[in-house]
Amino acid sequence: MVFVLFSNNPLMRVLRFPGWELGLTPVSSLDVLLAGRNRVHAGWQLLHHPLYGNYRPHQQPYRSLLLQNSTASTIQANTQATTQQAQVNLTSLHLVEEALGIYQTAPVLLPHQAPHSFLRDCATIDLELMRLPLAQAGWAELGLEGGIPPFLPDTLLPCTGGNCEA
Amino acid sequence: MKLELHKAPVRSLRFGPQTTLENDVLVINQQELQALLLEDPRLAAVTVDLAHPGESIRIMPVKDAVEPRCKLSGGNEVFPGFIGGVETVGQGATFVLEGATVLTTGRLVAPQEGIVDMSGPGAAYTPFSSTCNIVLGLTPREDVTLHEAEATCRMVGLKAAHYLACRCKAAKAARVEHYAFPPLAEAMAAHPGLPKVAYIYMLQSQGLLHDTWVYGVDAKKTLPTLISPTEIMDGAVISGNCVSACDKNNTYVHQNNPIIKALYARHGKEINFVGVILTNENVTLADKQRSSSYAVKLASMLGVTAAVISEEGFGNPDADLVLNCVKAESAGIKTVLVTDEYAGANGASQSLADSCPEGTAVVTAGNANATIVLPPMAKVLGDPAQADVIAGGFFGSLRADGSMEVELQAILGATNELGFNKIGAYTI
Repeated sequence: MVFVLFSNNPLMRVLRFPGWELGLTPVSSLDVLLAGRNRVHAGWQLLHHPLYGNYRPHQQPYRSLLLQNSTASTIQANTQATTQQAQVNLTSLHLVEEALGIYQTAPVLLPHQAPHSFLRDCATIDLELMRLPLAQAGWAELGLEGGIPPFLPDTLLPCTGGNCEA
Repeated sequence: MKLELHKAPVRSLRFGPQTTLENDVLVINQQELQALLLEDPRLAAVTVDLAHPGESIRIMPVKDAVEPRCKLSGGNEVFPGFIGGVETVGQGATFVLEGATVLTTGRLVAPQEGIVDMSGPGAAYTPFSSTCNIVLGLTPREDVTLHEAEATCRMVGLKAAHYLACRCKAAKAARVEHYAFPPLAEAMAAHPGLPKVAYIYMLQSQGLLHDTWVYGVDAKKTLPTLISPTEIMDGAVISGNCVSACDKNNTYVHQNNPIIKALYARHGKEINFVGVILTNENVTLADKQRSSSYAVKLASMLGVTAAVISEEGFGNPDADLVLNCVKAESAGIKTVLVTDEYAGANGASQSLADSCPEGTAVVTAGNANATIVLPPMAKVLGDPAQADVIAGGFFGSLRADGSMEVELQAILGATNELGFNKIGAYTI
């Protein structure tokens, strides 16, 4: 598995990411970051910055995080990209820890705390802001041929399987 | 490149039978302007309202602010790639309706956008409480995509600003500002003994509603590039973002970038201002590394000893700011950073998401987390219900009496990171 996408965005559940591992967490954006940090410690590297531009944790309930297995890396996203298995990518670690420092000290908006129309907008924006990293990882927008899929927050069931790392 | 800005003052607005400038009053043919804007088939409706400084008016949610300008000479038109063609701008003469602003409003998504109060305590925080505002209420058709709706709102603001300036360009300018940007060979040899300084101008470029356009090109798809400051005055850089209202660089701010003006003011006296380097703020780490390296490479090629670096937005753009700073300092280029802070309501929390020991000269535009209560206004242009979902608001922001408690983040331009804001500090 080369890529893993962690997300609590329900829109990500209905999109197709052939060959990728999906870690769909039903809970908070903080859980997404924690899942990402665990992978960074296991030698994976972030493909994009773990913080949004212009949203704080209480303003955007969704977060998606795309990581690549450094041992299979072809995208040298960081100057300190590792080549040895399980060697921690220090740039990724720094960024995810800085992000966690913000998420763990600020109020975090949970999806069930916001109205449906607000969630739909936030899910859409999360997807839009992930387009570039997803595209750079080779995602061909499969599943988006008909536009952004219907937003069905209730379809995001509690994760009980092996895909849920948060 | 030489550019003249022919500035005609606007001290008041009113509707009338013909769009023209009469004794500093901008008279607007409301029907003609509406009809022009409704030529865009993606728009379902557009309203045109007027707002003056001191009036009890709240405008929200504001998407973009644009200063009315059009070319008098020099080829092409303002806003290249949108109103004008894609040929180079920044030379000749440009007509400016100084004191007038086109503000676009309408709902795209939440949480986005901002508030302009024309009076009361909120007015003290936004520069657009001091301008005479032509407020466009935009309703895109329901069947257009979000991308199309954003593009429509962006285009309509530019179109209205250009229309107003064109209709008035026969008016005599009260003053003419002259700007020159010499060829590099000449600039390099000029003012021996003064330090060469460049401006690294960071542009938001992260995705829908978080984008900037340069000559009509999405900035996220560009490498850092050199540009003449006069091109920027002619609208080569356009805001495509409705992000965090306090620290987004709307189009008006790009047209009137105060950092560029300050560098010009010191040019030939304290410094040799040799260029502007546009760079982006993409989300991927590869792009952040590439753009920061390339921007600093351009600065090094110019042989500058110092650079001013301005940020747009907050959060992951803080990483771009730090990368630009570290790489420039490592290349022997002294830096001054311009940013704002999200330090919590009491100012005690971490201000930026990233930092570096090399960043020893930092200008802050203020703490966006500071809260303010905005009293009710007699008139609201737009939709006050957006207060609950606007960036800087929270569920419960809007009170029954029409007042609202928000962070400064919600107020347009309150902590603008180009310094186009009203918060400041003075040495006493």
